[in-house]
Amino acid sequence: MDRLLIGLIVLAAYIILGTAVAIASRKRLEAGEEGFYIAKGRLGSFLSAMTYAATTYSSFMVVGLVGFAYSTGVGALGFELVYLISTLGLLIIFSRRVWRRARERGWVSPGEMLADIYGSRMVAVVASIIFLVSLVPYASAQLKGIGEAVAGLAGGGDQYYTIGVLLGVAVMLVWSLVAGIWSVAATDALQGLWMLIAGTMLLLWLVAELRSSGLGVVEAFRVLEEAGLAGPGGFWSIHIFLAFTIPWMFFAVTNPQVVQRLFMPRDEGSLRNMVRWFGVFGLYYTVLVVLVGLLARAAYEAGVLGISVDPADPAQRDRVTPSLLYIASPLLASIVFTSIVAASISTVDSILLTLSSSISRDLGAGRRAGLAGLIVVAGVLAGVALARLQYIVLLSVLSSLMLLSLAPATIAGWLGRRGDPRLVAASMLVGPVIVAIATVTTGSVKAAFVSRPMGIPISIWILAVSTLLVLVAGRIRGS
Amino acid sequence: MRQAMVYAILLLLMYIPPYTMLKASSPLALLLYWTALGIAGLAYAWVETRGWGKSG
Repeated sequence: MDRLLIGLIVLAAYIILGTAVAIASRKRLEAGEEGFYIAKGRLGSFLSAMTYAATTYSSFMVVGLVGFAYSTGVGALGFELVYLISTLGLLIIFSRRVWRRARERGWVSPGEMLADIYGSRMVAVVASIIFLVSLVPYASAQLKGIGEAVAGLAGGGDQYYTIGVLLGVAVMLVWSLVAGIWSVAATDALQGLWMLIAGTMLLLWLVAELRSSGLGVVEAFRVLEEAGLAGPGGFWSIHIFLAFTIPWMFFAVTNPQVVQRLFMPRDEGSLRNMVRWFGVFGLYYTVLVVLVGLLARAAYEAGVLGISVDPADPAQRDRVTPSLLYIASPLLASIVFTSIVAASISTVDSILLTLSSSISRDLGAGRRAGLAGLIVVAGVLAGVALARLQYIVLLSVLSSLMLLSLAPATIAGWLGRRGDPRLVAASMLVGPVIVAIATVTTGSVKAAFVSRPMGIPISIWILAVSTLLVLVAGRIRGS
Repeated sequence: MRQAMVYAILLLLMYIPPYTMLKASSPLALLLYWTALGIAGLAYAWVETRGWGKSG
């Protein structure tokens, strides 16, 4: 009961603090959709960097990736750092030109950007529909993370899971609607800091606990090696590594909530700091989270701390962090638990706002319909989360797979290429279509994700077919 | 193009050595190896963005 009470007090403090920050940010809100969705391009360095990082790094990190590192070993670090390095590369190459063009052309939503580049509103409509369909599982996975965290804090129970999901929906709705991107970015900054501090505390506690059990960090890694976790093998065969990493490599180009963040910095200096400090945040947080998972596994192998999550059972992966919280002190558990909620909310409210801008601008529904759409989408996310579909990692990665086919059209457009808009739109649909076919033919989402038609990973197929269509579209336009 | 080349090389280094010469290495060695590549990617981004916002 003490544990639950302290957890609720810390959670309440976080919600009150976040709501106060959101309300305080209202004074910066300017009228119009540009003000509500992209702050009229006036975000400073700190908010730009923190909202980019907090939007990108979700509860997948502290729930899913900890579990992945625990179950599959250090390959989980390679998987996540491929994402970070490719994102830094894409930001270095493209972010400045996109930022400049967004100011020149007045882009508010990513679909609007594509419509402007290819001279067709149909492109924006197709992109918006793909965003909506693809991001529902990704965002629902975040709500599922909140539900699991609340249930873990309370020692299990379906009713606590439901309460967690509903609480998450309520908070993200309020923080999105109070001042649009200003309240989202300001609360993202708070949540990002909370995630860093909580993660650091969790790692330091785990190291101290292991040491008090006679297991130093170096010895812990020796235990992992003796347990057969040497090298990237085991789960992380090369084709699994490719299947997981390729969709994430293009996250910065294909996910509208992060593309839209390129429109927001107030000047190039803010954009520069956004890229730099996002990289610092990402590297630190990734290594930290993977270390937590690996050390927890070492504790399991050494038979200390009482961790009992079976690493061989994929269904238990998401239970590693809750099991750590269960043995940690109530205060630490509450702070980390709240960081899981923060990581989820900072991702989902950004997605909601971006989808709202898509409904308003790309589908031409107007601002009121955009806001109504935000509420409807939030309800759908809650419904999917309450249905407890699959486990969190596959849900998240599947979204990236469906969005992957937006990469060729987006990159070609950023490079100044043009093309027949019908074929460009068709190229964007390749991801959802191939994922749907693979799911039907293999019989499951999980099998579809790692499927290799003719020995080639499905992600490569999506990239190849969509790239081919974009190239053909350029030829038709040019002839 | 130089920037694309640098990140392409970093990405190749993320994939190829761990699945060839580092295939049997310890988890700690791989953790340090991949982290070093992450630091390299971040350091390069830091250098490449030095001029942003200082002209025009």
